[in-house]
Amino acid sequence: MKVAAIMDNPVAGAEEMEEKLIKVLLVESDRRFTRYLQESLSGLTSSRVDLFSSENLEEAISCLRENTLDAALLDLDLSDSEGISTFARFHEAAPGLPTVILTGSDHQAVALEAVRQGAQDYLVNSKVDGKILSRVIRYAIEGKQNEMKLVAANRDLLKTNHDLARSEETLRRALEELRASHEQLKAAQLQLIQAEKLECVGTLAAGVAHEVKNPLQTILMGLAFLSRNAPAEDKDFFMVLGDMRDAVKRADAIVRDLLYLSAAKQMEMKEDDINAVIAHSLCFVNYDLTRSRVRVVCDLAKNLPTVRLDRPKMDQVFINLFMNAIHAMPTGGELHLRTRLARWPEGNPGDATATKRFEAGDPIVLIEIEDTGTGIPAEKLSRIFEPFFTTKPSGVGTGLGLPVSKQIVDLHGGTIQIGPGSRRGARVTLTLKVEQE
Amino acid sequence: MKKKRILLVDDEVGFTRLLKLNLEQAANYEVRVENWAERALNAAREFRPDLVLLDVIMPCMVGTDVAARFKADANLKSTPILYLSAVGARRSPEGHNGMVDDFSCIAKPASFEDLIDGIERNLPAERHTSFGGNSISHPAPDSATSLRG
Repeated sequence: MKVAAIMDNPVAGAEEMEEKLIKVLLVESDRRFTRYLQESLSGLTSSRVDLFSSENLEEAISCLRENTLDAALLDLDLSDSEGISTFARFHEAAPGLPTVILTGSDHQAVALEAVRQGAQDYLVNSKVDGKILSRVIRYAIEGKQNEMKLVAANRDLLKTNHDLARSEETLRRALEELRASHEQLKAAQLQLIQAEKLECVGTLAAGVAHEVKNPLQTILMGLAFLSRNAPAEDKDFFMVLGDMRDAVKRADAIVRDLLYLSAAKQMEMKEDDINAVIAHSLCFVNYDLTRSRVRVVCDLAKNLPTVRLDRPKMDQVFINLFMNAIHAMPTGGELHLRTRLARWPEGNPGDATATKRFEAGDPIVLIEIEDTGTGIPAEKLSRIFEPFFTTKPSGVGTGLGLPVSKQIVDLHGGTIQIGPGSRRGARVTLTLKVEQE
Repeated sequence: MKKKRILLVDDEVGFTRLLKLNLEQAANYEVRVENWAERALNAAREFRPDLVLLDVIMPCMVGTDVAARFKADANLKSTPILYLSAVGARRSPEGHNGMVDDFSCIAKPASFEDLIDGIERNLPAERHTSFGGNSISHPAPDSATSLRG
């Protein structure tokens, strides 16, 4: 049913709507009330309205499908639907259509619920006339338009938010990658500096060694002469000679370690049994072990695969590490030596270069050297591979033992790490690659 | 008892003077010093040493070149040489085969006892004699050292 009516325009400023023909669907089961509304609307002169009328919900929904409408007036009590479900079904069919509820005064609570669910407004039947109806319809249209704009803006906002979150995530990942590569760069730079330092020291050492060792030799010969010709009763004389001899030994030790640095790069690799290398190296420190009352506790795995190594240089590494352990236990203790076959673990243990050498699952021979000595203070752990850095008292260490050891292990493609022992003391962990067949 | 003759060829004047003094005072050696490598051959021809203590790094001529001249000389080719090297690493793990060419090498700085030990080990067997006076302790076999670098 279609009725043409003219609607008054009570909305100030809604100029574009004055000229526009407004298409309104009235869903009302009471024909008399429908007629009353038609008449009320036709009594107005300022605006035109196309009024479509339906008596039940089914008819109304088919009308929605056939026409493009601007608003709807919906009675909730129809022949085929009652109460709030009428609005729910109608709204489902036309969610974007501004809908005003028409209700009897005793249904106000239901009408309010409909407004909560999306209706623009509600009118109490008894108080409706053309002017009110016209105004409410216009408000409803305006309101719905604003609501739709709001929904669209909200949708845009949500999308922007989503995009922002994604950008943030991308940014966070980029930052993480940046941080990681910065760390890697720092580590690489540190290693480069370390390597350069060693290179410099090595080059210098080769040149200086000859010039230092010759005078030391002359001093030793002088000491031999003086010892023989010393007055037998003068104890101070012999003490002085002893101190001088010790000083020569120290100077010689430093030059010797410096020379190792310069010579470490020439490697002669052969397949060898790491347990045999350890046993061989132990022979060199036997005297020092006994003198310092250090007990050696071995837990060496049997049937370990061979590893490619330069025997004299690995001997040197082990002697350095054993001597460090002995120096850390001046009043005696235990030196634990363990070997076993293992696999390079997941994640990133060890220094940055270790990850380049090993992949997770690579077979490795793991060597642990643990003492029960004084240990290394945590703040010094990061510096122990620096040339000339020593935790030992003056005259005991040259500060080159660990840099030399690390250089040798690096040249073997292995890793060396030092940390606290299981109870006290320090633990050195060496890993060497097992060649896979 | 005939003294063993040692020709000491080394450019370090202080060292050669002191070693000569020690060897002659403390042990039964007769020592001739030559500080110029290129004069070593002539000195040896005159002196007829039982052993040559020969520095490796010397100006003008290195020890191994001096040794080559000795080997080429009919009268000196069987004279044992004990090298002294200031570029060696003493008591290194590699120390068991401290050889330069076919001769043993002692790394500087070496104690007087180590030098005596080296000399005694390298003298021809029939010339071995014990010497009285000072007792010389023989250090562990690993005191023989290698030439490195």
